[in-house]
Amino acid sequence: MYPVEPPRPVLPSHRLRVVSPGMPTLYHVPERGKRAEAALTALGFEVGYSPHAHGLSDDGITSGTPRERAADLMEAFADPEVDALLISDSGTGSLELLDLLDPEVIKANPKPLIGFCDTVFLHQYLAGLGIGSYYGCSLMFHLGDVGGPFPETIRSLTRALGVEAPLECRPLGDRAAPPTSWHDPASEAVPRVRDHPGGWTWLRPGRGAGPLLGGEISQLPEVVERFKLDYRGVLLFWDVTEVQDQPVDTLIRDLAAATDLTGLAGMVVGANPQLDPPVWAAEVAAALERHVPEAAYPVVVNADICHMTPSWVLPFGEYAELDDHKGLSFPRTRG
Amino acid sequence: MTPEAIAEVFGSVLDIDDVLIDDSFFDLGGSSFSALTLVSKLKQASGRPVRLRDVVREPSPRGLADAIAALPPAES
Repeated sequence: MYPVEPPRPVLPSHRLRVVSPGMPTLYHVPERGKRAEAALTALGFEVGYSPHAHGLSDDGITSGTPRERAADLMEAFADPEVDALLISDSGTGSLELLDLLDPEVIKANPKPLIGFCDTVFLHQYLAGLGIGSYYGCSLMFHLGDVGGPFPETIRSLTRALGVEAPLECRPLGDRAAPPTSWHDPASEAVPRVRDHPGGWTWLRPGRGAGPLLGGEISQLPEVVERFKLDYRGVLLFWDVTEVQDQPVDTLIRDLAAATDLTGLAGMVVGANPQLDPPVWAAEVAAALERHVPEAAYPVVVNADICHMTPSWVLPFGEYAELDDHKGLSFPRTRG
Repeated sequence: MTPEAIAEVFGSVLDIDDVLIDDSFFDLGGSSFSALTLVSKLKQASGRPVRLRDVVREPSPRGLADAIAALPPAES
């Protein structure tokens, strides 16, 4: 099953279909979507929208009923005019779509989904079908800022989608936290400031290689349970959201209880929007020492796969190498 | 929608009685998450494209009534 092969390249002039498997952010902040669309159009992509991308469910939590959102996904996969699916936003809602998807149609029409956070359920579902996807980008969160997306985010997106080989992921520099609210026009209309220091922290140097899997850590125990995952031999990446209030000790304890973390090929931990990098690295180190003391694989913290921008766009499920001299890289070879 | 009708919607979302037309949704215990449900209910009841920003700007039934009245009818 793993690692999955790289998807077909998605290049300028190709067509992206915006889908909303989760929260109805595009309904609430349509101008943010317009800015993101303009950024993608400027790169040469054609952007289209699924029928419920701008929708609002009766309970207000998502863009439509599970059947409506799943139908949007299936239509995008089946449509030969669509080259890749891009989520508008995440938040919640992906898990309830899984039983409504048709794996045979998706396998007959493989194409990458671009998403992050809650859409980890979709990434893992696709990986289980042997289909590669991209984790770390969304229309609203990553591409819709006033002033446009950060150039590092754009470069990471286009290099990943174009199946540049090898795909080498280096530190992207200082980071910007999300706006305090997209729904407060005064906050939303201010360009993001990169006032969070960048740079990585190697808790344990070394080299490890394997399929890259992971996601936002509070969701991973459910991902493990749903897909009966065994992370042995896996390069595991994870991060926390900007509103996570659980201590990292609890998060790692819960994940270690759900699956064996002693046999990973390596661990890549994203930066924490709520903590300074040295504090975050120390908390992660203490939690790993407490809950996975026997682990010997390389661990890097404050990586650029996180709920801040700019950010990497990573090939989910593909073979990857983590090396304290070379960073994180993907050979991206097929066959 | 009248401020009184909006106050009733506040009460149904937050499961409380006797919401006054000058009460703030957020002071009553509303969160950004419950505000999503509030917006959807107000959109259905008013037929106007109410958005979360409207609640953030005008968190009371009185203020929201004016804000909603100024919105165009929602597209079907």
